[in-house]
Amino acid sequence: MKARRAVIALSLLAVTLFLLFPFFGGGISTNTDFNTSVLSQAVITAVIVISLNLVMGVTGLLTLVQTGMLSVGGYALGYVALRHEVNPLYIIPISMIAAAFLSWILILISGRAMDLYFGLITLAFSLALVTIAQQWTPVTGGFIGMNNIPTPHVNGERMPKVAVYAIFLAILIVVFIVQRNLMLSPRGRAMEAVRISPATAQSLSISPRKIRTFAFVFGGAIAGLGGAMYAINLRSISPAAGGLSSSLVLFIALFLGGLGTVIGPLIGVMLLTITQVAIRGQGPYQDLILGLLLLLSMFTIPLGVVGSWNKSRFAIPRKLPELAHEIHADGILLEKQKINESNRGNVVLESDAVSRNFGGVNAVSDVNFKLTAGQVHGIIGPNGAGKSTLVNCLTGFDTPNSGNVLLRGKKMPADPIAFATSGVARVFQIPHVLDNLSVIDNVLVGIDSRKPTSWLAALIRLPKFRKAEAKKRNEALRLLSEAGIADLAAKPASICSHGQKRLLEIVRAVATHPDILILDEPATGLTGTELTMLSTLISNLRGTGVAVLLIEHNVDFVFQLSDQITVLHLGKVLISAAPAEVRASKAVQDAYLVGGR
Amino acid sequence: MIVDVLVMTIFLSSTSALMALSLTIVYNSTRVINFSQGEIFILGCGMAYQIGVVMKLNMFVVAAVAIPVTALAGLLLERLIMIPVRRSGSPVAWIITTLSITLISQSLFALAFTSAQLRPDPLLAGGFKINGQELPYQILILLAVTLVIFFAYEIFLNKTTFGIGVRAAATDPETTSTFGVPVKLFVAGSFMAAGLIAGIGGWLGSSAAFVLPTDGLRFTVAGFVAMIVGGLGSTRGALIGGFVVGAMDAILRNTINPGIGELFIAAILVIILVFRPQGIIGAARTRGDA
Repeated sequence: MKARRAVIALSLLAVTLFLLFPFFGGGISTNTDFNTSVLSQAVITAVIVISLNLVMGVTGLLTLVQTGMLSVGGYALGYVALRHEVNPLYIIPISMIAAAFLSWILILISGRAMDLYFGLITLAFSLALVTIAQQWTPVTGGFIGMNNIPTPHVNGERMPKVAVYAIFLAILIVVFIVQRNLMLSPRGRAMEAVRISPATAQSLSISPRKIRTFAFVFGGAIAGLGGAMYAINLRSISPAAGGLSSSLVLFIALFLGGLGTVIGPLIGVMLLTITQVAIRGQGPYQDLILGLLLLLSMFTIPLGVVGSWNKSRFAIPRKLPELAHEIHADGILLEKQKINESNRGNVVLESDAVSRNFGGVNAVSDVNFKLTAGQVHGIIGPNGAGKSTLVNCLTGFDTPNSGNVLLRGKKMPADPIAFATSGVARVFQIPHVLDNLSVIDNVLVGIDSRKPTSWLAALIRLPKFRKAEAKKRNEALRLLSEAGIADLAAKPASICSHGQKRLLEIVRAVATHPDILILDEPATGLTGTELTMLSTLISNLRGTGVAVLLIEHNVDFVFQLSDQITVLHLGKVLISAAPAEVRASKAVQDAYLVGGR
Repeated sequence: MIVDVLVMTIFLSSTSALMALSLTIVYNSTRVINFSQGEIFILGCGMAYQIGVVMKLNMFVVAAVAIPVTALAGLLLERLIMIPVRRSGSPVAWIITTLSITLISQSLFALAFTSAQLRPDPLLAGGFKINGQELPYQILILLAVTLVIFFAYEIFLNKTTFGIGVRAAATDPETTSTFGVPVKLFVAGSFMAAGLIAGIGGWLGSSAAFVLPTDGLRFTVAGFVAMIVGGLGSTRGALIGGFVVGAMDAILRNTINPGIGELFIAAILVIILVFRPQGIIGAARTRGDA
């Protein structure tokens, strides 16, 4: 575990030494000015690559407009600096606001377009921004752009290059820390959840739209900051800065370092700069060598230096806190009991004459159904009986054609997030774990949903915030050990078996402290031991006053656990009664248990 | 004036439509937008120029060399782009591979083709005289070949068993492969077809206009715009998109000024993507969070 710290510390040291060259003289070249301007450029690139990492690497928004945001920042700075006698450094916030504002407009009008389409919209915007910069001559200076942007000055004296570089370096350090803290915060986990699976995020009270907007605007502001630095450094800005070919450098650095990693952007920019310096003066061969190196690295380390390292056998997993207490049989669940006791016996979720048809097929017709707190309610029925459609309607993932879904007597809109925030937790038919996150982070996303923290507090990592995070980790570990999968905590969720993923998803649902837990075919594909674990978990939950809805094919499992069973057949309720009564029912036997035809 | 606009319209429309078609073919089989597609366009015109003008060989030699080489270049691109994409598992890795190939090709072309302009000889010199101005035969050949390529591809897709396999593989590669359809071979084949089409576009198109060795990305972007305007993934959309965008660009460029054309195109692109993402005739499902 110390080894992990050592590797991180060494990488940071390498980057630091590299960035401090101008202060030692010497370095890349004997010409200090040359060193400073090369490294200033590297620092600026690093700032923009970090913004790209947050938007694309962490949140998964394919964006090709980051250089566009850079130009907006640069032009905003140039425009103000050339017309007013202000120190350009003071104009930087204006650049950030301009780029953030434009990002906000862009994501607002691109609506719900996703993945590749969002990428295409950003590409179109990027082309439009370059054209506007070329054509709107009175403001942007046309093809030539803006020149002679004043150098930052103190008391009327121009700051030397090295001093400006020192300021840039300070900015980079702040931006890097902001990125790191954000990625390690609940907000960062939410961003990753949105990237990996928007549906899962919604079921955990995370709004993909809000998170994407946040990430894009935040990233836009940082790119605007980079643009302002760019304009100050070169003392000019031209349309070429926003073009697709200048994006290339950003993508190279990000992919070389490792997309979605904390330190990847810095490593990537450092490697890129070293390469560029090494091959300078090669004339037309320069781009060729750069392109070939890049392609070669895509073949050998497709996840970048940091990403491929983390996947390799050299990887050193993050250290987890030791469990603070002995685990009590159902410690966490007991805490919950106090809250729910008064509620027991009330109807919490009901469908009132819900119908849903798909192109003339009545998947669900006129279903009345009531779920009571402190009970396990099983739904069985053959394939095509309408079980999954009903569940989708009951959790806001689907809109009924007629009828209402009532949560504690209140009519609900068809919005999964509204259900999730009102205490409905859903476990999907196909396990929806967040694959790239660690097992414990999966659970933490669940805990986050009921313990909101301000992202600003996360950025500065106040002691209070750190304490709260540690407490959450502890709780997550305890929950995992109740399900018997605590030893997997630090592993990525993707390596779990089907059964482990299932249990993990249930643990995550429990971590949200739901009043209502909806399990869609949880027993499918579980081993005998895992089945026992699952049924213990479910009866413990019932003991705490949670309403459990259990949709299942495994009839024995349902009859053994349920207090009430509803049988669906061809989209209609056949019977809804206690298990014994259902077992005795002639209609059920005819339709399902025996004949089935 | 009118003849100028006509020549410009046919040039821009045909080359954009051909580039859009080759981007579409690759997109349909891989969901990758190949930013380096325009480099094969340049390869086509560069080879035609080098063999026809510099080495002074006749156009049959040009065809015998350029056609197989551009198809093979397509195959090479498939290897270079798809291997890292499959290995990394990242949905955005194609950006970096296609852009790095663009970078490599641009510098290779700059080294190989020392001439500033690549202008191969036309297949047929001369042209019709209209009001004392000349409408070159070459531009009409370009138009005819473009239409023939689209027609042939459409027949191939809809009337042959092979074409149905290609469409199936595009819709659901996993399921299609369980029917014994060699999906990966189809992917390689689609890159070759795309390379061939872009190469022919470069060869025939460049003898009607001025093309620089580093212009590849410009033609990719033109094809991209046409593809989006017509409807992502649609063959007919690529043709219609190419002609709509090419005509508007040529007319605005010649009547007002070159800048207005570009600004207008950028605006159209944004408007289409935001308000009608399925394009003029496309019907692709594009929205939704899941």
